[in-house]
Amino acid sequence: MSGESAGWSEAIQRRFQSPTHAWSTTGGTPPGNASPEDAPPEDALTAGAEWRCGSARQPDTGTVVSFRLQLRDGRIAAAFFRARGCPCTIALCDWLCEQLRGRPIADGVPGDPEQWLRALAAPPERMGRAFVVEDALRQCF
Amino acid sequence: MNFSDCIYLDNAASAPLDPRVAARMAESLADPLLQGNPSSQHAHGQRARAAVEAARASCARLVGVPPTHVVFTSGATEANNLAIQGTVRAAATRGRHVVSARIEHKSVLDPLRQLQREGCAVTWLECDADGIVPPERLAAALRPETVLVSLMRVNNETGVVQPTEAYGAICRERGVALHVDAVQGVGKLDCNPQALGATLLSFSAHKLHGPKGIGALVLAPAQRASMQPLLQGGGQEWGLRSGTLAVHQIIGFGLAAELAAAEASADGARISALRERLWRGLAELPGVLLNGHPRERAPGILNVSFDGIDGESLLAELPMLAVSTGSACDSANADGSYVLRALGRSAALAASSLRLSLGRFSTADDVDRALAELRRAVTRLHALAP
Repeated sequence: MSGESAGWSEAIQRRFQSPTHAWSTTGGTPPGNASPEDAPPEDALTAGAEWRCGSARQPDTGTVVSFRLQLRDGRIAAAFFRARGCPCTIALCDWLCEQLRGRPIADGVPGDPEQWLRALAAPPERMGRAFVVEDALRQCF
Repeated sequence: MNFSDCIYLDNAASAPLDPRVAARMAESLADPLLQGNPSSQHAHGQRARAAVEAARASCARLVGVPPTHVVFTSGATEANNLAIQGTVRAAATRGRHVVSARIEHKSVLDPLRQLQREGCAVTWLECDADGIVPPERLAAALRPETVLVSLMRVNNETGVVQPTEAYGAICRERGVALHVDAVQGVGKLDCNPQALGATLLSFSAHKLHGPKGIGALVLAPAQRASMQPLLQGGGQEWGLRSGTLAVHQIIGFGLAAELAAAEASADGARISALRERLWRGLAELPGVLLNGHPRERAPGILNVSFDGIDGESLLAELPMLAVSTGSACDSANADGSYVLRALGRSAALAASSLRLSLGRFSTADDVDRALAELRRAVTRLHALAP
């Protein structure tokens, strides 16, 4: 394990260990606060404007990110993610879902990757992973 | 985190110091009669010298050579550098071509790259998908101007045993010196240089449950004349490695070698069985792939990839497990192991790999607890993935 990843910030560790906006693919009780009734439908893109979806991947690192945003009255009522990636990637997705709740969909993506990494005290070397997260999220808007 | 609950499965990086070795070293450090310089002629020096020579004999017996064939160094990295740079620089008028492999340890690759920058030609052999460098590739790569072949005995990342006897036969027939990095092989399988056809052979103490900071280069006295030393000064070790000998470390090395010789057979059988137990448990997990030949491997090393899982996240999920991603000497490389890339693994899969390595003090309970941790981690990370 590289020296930088051996020292993840407390914010990253906390969200990596206990994400509150991840949706489990294996059924049962999902991690965090989401309930089965909130499950984003797999065909969300064709289910109407209630859900916005986006995904992106970076083959070299194997990073894959997807977001599902539930809209009500023009605002983001709930946000979920699934991710395969480093602890920083997962923490970033979880943190962004939290930032998105209640936000008008018209306001677009909040901030930029550089600001996101600073908010989580993530090393700047993780910018590439943050760009994958950004790509996935931008598809929702 | 309670450190005593941690499960140590990183013996290939460093094998925990055997308490018997630690005790012997502590005794030697406290012994007022062992404080002399082994190069000194007075009684203190000669007493230290005697202890060094006794340890040298133990190291020599482990690999089946006379004591005069063992040159102490600061470790295998120095031994590899001495073997490679020492041979190539001394042979510069005869030829400037070396054959090695892409899967060698960095302490072989980097000195060869330095020699390349200085104008030496190097042919890098590729391994097959099982992590073995086929002997016929070596035979095809040799040239009239080849002065050295450097091919390891056991790959440090995959644990795959190389066909060193075949390399030795080829090199003997062609009159080319063969250097064998035997760090992961000595004490585990046959590493007798004569049997292997090796002109030079490196190994280190801390892979044998001995102390860090001491290793050896094995070579026949006649070969010394064909070498250029890296360190010049007091002329110790027959002029091949100047510097005051680290008596306490050599004493520790000697005892570690004795214990390895005496206990290798029993250790090997037990460790192989533990490795199989570990593999059987891992093979039940989704997306687990074994890296390297399934049978041609040293007892304690298992390298597996976890398809669909990020390697850093896997490690972050396993704070209680001491394992490696790739080589400990290359832990700063976030792109995944170059050895696994050479086996044909993708960058993502190479970065999602763990090397688990068992040793003398590993137990079935260690294996079972490690499996429980790995099952938990893999299950959670798969659940998070799209």
